[in-house]
Amino acid sequence: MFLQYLARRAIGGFLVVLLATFVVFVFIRVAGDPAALIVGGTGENITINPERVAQVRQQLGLDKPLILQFVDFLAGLITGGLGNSFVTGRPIADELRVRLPLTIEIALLSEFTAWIFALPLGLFSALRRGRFTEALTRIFFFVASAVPAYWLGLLVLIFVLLAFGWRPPLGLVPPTQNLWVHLQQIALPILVLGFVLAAGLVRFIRNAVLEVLQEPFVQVARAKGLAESTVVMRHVLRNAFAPTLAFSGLRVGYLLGGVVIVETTFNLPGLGLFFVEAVARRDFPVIQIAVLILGTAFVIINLLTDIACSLIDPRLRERG
Amino acid sequence: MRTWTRRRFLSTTAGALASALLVACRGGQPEPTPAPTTAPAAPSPTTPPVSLPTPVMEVTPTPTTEAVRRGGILHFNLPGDPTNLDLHQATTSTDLWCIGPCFDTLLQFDPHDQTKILPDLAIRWDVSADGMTYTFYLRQGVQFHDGSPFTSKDVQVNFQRIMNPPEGVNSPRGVFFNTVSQIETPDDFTVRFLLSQPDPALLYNVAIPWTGIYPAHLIESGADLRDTKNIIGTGPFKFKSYTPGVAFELERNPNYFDKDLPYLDGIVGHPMTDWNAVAQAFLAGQLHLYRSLTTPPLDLFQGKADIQVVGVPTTLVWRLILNARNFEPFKDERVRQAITLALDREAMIQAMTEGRSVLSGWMHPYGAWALPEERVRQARGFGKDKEADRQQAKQLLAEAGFPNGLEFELLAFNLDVTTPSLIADQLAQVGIKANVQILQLGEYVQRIVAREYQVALGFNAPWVDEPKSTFGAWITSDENVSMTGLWSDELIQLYQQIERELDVEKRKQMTHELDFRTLDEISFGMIYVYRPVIWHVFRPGILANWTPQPNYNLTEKHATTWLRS
Repeated sequence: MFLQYLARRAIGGFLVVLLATFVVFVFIRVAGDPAALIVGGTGENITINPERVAQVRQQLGLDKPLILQFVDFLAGLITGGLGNSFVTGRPIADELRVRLPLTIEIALLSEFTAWIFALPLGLFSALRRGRFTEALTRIFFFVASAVPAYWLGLLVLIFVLLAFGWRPPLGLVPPTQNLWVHLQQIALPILVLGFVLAAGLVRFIRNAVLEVLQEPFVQVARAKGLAESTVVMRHVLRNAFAPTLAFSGLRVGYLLGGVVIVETTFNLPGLGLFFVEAVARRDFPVIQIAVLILGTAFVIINLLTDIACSLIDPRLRERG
Repeated sequence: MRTWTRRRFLSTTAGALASALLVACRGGQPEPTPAPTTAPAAPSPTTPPVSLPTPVMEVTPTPTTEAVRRGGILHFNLPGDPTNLDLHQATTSTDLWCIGPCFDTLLQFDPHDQTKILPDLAIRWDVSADGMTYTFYLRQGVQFHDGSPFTSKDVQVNFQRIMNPPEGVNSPRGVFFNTVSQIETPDDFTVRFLLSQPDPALLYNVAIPWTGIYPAHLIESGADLRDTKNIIGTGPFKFKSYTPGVAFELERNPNYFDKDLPYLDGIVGHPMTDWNAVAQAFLAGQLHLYRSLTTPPLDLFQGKADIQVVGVPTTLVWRLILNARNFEPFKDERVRQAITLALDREAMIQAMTEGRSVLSGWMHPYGAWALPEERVRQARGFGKDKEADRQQAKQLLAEAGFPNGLEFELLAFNLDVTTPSLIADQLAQVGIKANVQILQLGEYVQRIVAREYQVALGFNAPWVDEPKSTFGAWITSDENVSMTGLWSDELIQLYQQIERELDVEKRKQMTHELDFRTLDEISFGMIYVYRPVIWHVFRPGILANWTPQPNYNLTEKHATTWLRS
């Protein structure tokens, strides 16, 4: 039954990714011609020979019917190549080798940091509901959730620079080469993004905990004479955890958006910048792979979240 | 050339993309020179201008009396990752900053003065009396990075590739050599360019760094020169490594023909798309030099005496392109003149360049061909009395049958969103309503190529400050090339004379005439708006023997640059 459910979700997810890829595939072709950009350079020199543009279109296969181009793209994927960038001619796989692990690292560690911030604070503000300390926590996190990541990142960078004359070392050193330098490079972006992500999470945890605190079984647990800490840890937290995890899964898009922004602010060579540049340059193959990767990530993370939730809360498994 | 504005825009786009996805898924020492082994030949009577008036710039010259310190790695920002690493195909400064130092050209621009041409792979040259034959005498004993020797055949094969690129290769500067009918190699160290008509611009065009020389065997093998393993030239630096988004690294070429050079051990370009990150990295001492087209955060550098911030007017000029094919009123010269009268260029210089740019003609104000300022002032719309200009603009519009003004669409791209709004504001003061439409670069270029615009804001971007490069692309009556559908036969004739004129002084006078009349008459539908500045930020106490220039595409070899610490 559970396996059936999983299979159903996996097929659904696959179709969603395929559909998203197709939709983006069509839309990017409506808005802007990469051939013109390739022939025309950066827009500084726009006296372009239309014949050359037509020639480049043909070389890139852009003169074929849309559906045929899409089939070509899928066939390329199946035969194992991610293809080459229209603009640089470099294999996309080469670019991903550095960028993909970095983005995954930042995304995971930021989310982890967000939980570290949010879990105790959320719990604290729920348990101290109505008190002055709770109000303080709430005000703090209302403000935090209104602060955009790029602005906070900028502020932190300028503060650290002016106060200590320090800035994370330029570029990116792989952790295998020098872990210390690597940590210096990723620590600030992770803290910043983690903090911004935590703002929403705190509120959610607080509400989830409050909701659970109203449940009869909490009263029963208290009535049994269990210590308050046991009630909170074993009964409240566990039951508040599942919806929070599901919420977190739904926020993957938001997380990825945040990663793009801190990568830009902190000048880290992740997928975000690469994909944003690709959009500006109308680099179709890169955009398509971007949608494919981000879409797949979204679907997989949601699937994993569902599985995790059902492990935590067996009732979900039965309903599923 | 990317700006914070655009970055901001891109970041927003990224956010939007992520959200869309969410919805879709589920929702010194004596001045070091390139040291020619032989002095250049004495200019023949017909030698075109290779040394003309010295530019006047507010730049502190680097003292060159101290001993050169060797070694060190030069770090600077790249506005993004390089897009095309084939020098002949490349079009962006980023590409050139990455690979330029790996290549030599026949001649080169003086790294301290872009109006001067120095020897490079050719140690001397001569020009026949009729201006139809250019002979270059090549340096001997030069080696490519792969160990193969440099000969005249390499020059021949490279220029043939630039002029007639093979299928799949896009050569944007091929048109520069449209007067070259044949390239001969009488011996291993002599190359002769035979022309179909006199072309004094040729010496400039063989000096631009984009015409760097690859080994002939590499080109003949049909190798993809965009591949990093094929970055093989004779230049002072060799390719070392490239990690996209992280760094583009070059190392010293120990076999450079000038055994004394380069001074640096290497060069590292850091792709950085966020201007704040660039400024901070510079302040933290991680970059020796940073350059941008947008104003740096000047307040961050205030009170720091060791830092020099220099804004140099560029060779680029913002211009309005009036497309008479799509907007009938532009066929009336009074309407075109009203628009140029309405623009307040000095206000734009103040607002957009902190007053660092200057009023000029199409040719660079500090260059050899500059139209003198008093002459520029005489052009329609360039005078000091803006109120009188506006009155005249309104009157011209009324005479042309638009007493209540007119309305059109102004197409711009997201590099700079302030300039188009300033233009729209100024036009509004004479009753012209310009509806600004800001597009992503890709979409913008597509509309430009298809000529689907009424008015477009774009750059006039000469590769080098030389009349052919500045006017060649748009002084035309060719319907396929013209971006406006407007021209003047008289001025085209004048331009054709400039193209061929061998007498330097005459050529200069004719260029002034063309420059002035195109500013004043708007017969080609091109309206000069203003010249942005390139900002250079560096520590003169550290970066030595390097001079900020108005066109950062011309002097990027860094053979003679050195670091004090």
